[in-house]
Amino acid sequence: MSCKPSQPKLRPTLADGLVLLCVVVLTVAVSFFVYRPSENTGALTAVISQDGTILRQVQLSALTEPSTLEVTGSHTTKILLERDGVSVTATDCPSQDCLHTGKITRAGQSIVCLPQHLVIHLEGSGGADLVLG
Amino acid sequence: MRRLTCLLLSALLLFCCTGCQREESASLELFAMDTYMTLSARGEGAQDALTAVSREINRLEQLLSRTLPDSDVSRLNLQGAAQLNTDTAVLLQQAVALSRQTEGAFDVTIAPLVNAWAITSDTPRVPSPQEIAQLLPLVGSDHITVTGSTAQLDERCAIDLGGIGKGYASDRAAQLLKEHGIEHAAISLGGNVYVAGTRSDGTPWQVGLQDPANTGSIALRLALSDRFAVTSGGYQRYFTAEDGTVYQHILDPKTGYPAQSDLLSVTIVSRSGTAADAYSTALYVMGQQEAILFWKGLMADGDPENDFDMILINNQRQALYTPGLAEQVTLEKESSYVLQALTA
Repeated sequence: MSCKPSQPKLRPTLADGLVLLCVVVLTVAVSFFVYRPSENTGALTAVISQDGTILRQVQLSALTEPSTLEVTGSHTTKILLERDGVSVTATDCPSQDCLHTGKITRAGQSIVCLPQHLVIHLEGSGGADLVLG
Repeated sequence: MRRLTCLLLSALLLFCCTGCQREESASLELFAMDTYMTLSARGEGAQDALTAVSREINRLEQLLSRTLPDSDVSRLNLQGAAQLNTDTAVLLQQAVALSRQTEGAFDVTIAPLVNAWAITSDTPRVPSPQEIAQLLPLVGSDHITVTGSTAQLDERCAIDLGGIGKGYASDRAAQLLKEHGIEHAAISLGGNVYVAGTRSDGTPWQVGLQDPANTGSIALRLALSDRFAVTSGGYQRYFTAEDGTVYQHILDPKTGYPAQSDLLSVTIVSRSGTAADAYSTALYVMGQQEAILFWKGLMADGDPENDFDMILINNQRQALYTPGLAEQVTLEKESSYVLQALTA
């Protein structure tokens, strides 16, 4: 007849509690950095680029007054930057599509001037990933 | 010592999890097919996959462009008959089928009228009624014969694949992404959208729908995965004549004039980018009542290949949506539209 060996008594100590606490704190901290939203937090940022090169990046909420930007090249396009959005106010481009777009105010929206390869894009949290239209 | 080991192992495990989350992601933008395109993908080999997609788009542009002199379309329009690349022939066959299915509301033989109006060019004009009457008989899918990879056009006829080419390109893009093993991607070929899988947080892609009455705003939002979506509307491109009349770019193949639609925009959500592109134009031309009948007709067919969902925004500030989108559609904050469900 065999005899079962006696199990050691498992009683958590203060040091065990400290290890557990460290693991919990570490988990929360890592989760915060890993799973936080990838978009910029806060207000809208207008990114103006031409042929893939960023010409200017403006955080709209930081504007104290409307600002203008003139992009020249094959055509001349005037851009108005305001706290609540961006618009093209004038262009000598024949299609006028960028002017027709009006003022964009939501993250994810863009104004595109095809002949100039000019793109004005709004970035910000909570915006659509893509826009149809 | 054992406790310290335990702590270190936990930290290592968490560090590994961080590594898992940071999977490869890539994005790319390009100007092609007379539009601006954005591509983004997540997963191993994402950069290579997007490079392959952009190469494919440029290759298709060389075939389908109406302005590049050596393209398949230009050769066919100039010579009246041409040997086509397989992609062009396949697309042309699909275009003819879609034209017949929509009873000519979508028609690639509309090119002579597109040329006459030149609305999307630098020199748009209003053709005379006589000129339109002379050109109208040249429009109709019966003027095209596609046999294998050879196509033939009746005299003076011409084709324009502008209303379907980007849709076909989005289908090819989706296929290439799949071949590269990419499960999560979002691409927009000038408004022809394809979304695969989910965003990095595991939720469906958020696709905004531009307000056709105020193009600076978004009217509503769709939560989509593994679908193509395309919007057509007269507001997208137009010109204002000297007398102040606004002429929008979607022509009605039956009248030869810009479509007089009671719809402001039509959005199609489908498993086929090519069909979505053609349907969005066709249903805009049809107008609300006919568009709904067309959708009901295809649903009644029971062929899942033909299934599609849609959102019709009309001039009564209503956004009519099909039941398949009931869980996906939400009004944007401050949107002035009223959502209304359609029934099959």
